[in-house]
Amino acid sequence: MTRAKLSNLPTNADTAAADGRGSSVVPRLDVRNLSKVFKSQGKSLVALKDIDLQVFPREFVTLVGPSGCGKSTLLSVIAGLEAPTSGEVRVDGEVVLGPGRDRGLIFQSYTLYPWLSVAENIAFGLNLRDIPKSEKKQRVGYYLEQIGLTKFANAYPSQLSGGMKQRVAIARALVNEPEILLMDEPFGALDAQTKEQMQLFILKLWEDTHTTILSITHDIEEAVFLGERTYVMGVNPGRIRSHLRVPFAKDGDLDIKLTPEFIEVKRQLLHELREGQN
Amino acid sequence: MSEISGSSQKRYLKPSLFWNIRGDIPSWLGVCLSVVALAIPLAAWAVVSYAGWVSPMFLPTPTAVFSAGIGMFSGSDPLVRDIFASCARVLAGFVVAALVGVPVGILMGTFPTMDSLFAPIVGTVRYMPVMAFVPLIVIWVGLGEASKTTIIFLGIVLYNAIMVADAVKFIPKESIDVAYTLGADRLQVLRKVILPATFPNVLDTLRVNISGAWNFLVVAELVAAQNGLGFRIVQAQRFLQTEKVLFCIALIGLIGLIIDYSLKFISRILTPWADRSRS
Ligand SMILES: Nc1ncnc2c1ncn2[C@@H]1O[C@H](COP(=O)(O)OP(=O)(O)OP(=O)(O)O)[C@@H](O)[C@H]1O
Ligand SMILES: [Mg+2]
Repeated sequence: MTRAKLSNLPTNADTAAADGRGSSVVPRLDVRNLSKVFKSQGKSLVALKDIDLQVFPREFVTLVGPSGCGKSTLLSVIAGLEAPTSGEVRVDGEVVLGPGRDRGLIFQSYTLYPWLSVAENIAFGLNLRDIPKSEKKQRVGYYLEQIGLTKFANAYPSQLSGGMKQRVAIARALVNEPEILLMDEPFGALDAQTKEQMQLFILKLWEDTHTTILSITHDIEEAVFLGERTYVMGVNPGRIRSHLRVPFAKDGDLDIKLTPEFIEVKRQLLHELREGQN
Repeated sequence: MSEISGSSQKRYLKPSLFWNIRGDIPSWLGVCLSVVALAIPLAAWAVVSYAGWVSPMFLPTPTAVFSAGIGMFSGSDPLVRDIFASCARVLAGFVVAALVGVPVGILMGTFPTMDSLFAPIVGTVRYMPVMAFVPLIVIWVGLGEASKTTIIFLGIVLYNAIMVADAVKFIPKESIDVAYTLGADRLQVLRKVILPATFPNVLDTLRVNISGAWNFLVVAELVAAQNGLGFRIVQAQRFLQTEKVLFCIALIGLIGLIIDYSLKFISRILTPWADRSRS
């Protein structure tokens, strides 16, 4: 197993462009100078301030931050569900002006449609378009297989566990073949064991489907285990504090979490997070 | 058992079969309670009337009511015709009120603009008693069946709209947002998320408001009706035939019960997925 040495972890101001990958490649997702201010009852709250963030094609990027730092808000803006107050979001170089199926979003809460079966939930996005029945069936079948719920194709969401529901939600987003998959603490509500299974599952899915992923979490271990790169956010106002390349192979070996190198990266991130909180 | 109360320091929530909050109760208990709820007033009625504590005109005996009812089914003017006439009126008013009220409610719940548009009308007309409109309705649409349909329609259409609009507003925002990120446009969100999500509530709303339709039926049949259960009640009252009045009232209740159970049954079949989330 190749395990990169833990050397000179990049911290502040080390943008993606500087790591040798971004200079020539157009980022899949490019968030530039983005700010979001909420105005309510005469008061205004700066939820996000000057956010710069890039995700490159086929990359798995994680973002950690304390509760209330604006993680969900950032994803909503990237997804186009909320307009930024200033700054812009680009996908493959084009400015994003609203929601679209190029950016699949997995919500923090369970969002399956209770009136549709598992297979129908997965097919939801395909049914919005003119796609031949046979192709629909084949694509839905592929993702049912991928998430290991072929047997539950005709079950309703109320008959599924939390982990199963999130897997269906992920399949529902991926079957649309989005340019980038955005995930908002997708495993936050799951117990430790199910969470680890889901982490392995998403890594395998990422390998198999070549998807680009931006995943939000407040679990540092998850951020390091899943992400090739990790952004750390601070609060008041919500901003990117630093950015770090994770020097481990993403080969789905859970034992890596117990190695001193891994724990060292976690420690760094943890300190970074703590400083960001005051 | 004083030693138990003395030794137990910790206080746990004791299980309770009877005061069980939103849990399951054994079916025998449910049936028993329903039977008791019907039996006690019936028994009280029987005791008071058979014992002759009050005059039969004030409160007739159950047997008198029953035989008066049987009598109404035969003869030159059988009650079955009235039942049909009333059911047809309720159905007509109810269907029109559903066809107008449900779409308006869905529009109001979905689009804030439509809410602003309809809210003033719905909000003020709701407070105006339908009884007060009766003279106007007679002038506007005449004395025929149309006036009766209109009265029932006016009685329930606004409640349909308000209750459906509320149901739409209870759809979680995420359910709608997720459809946008899957590529849906607004019309698709309306058709594929909002309509199915509110469907069980629409059925519930209609089930609640059909009872309102029966309430306004009696008002409607005050207006120059020649038949119908409401008409029969008014007639019987005019001749102080209390037993006939009671029989017709009970009959309306029975019809309502049958409708209620059928609609519940239908919604369970149409929305099998909704059962767990609602109960
Ligand atoms: N629609 C809104 N109107 C006003 N303020 C909002 C709105 N949405 C979010 N906020 C505020 O923006 C801040 C960031 O909220 P957000 O939900 O993005 O945090 P988060 O990082 O996702 O937190 P958590 O980890 O708990 O999910 C909070 O202070 C919140 O109160
Ligand atoms: Mg959040």
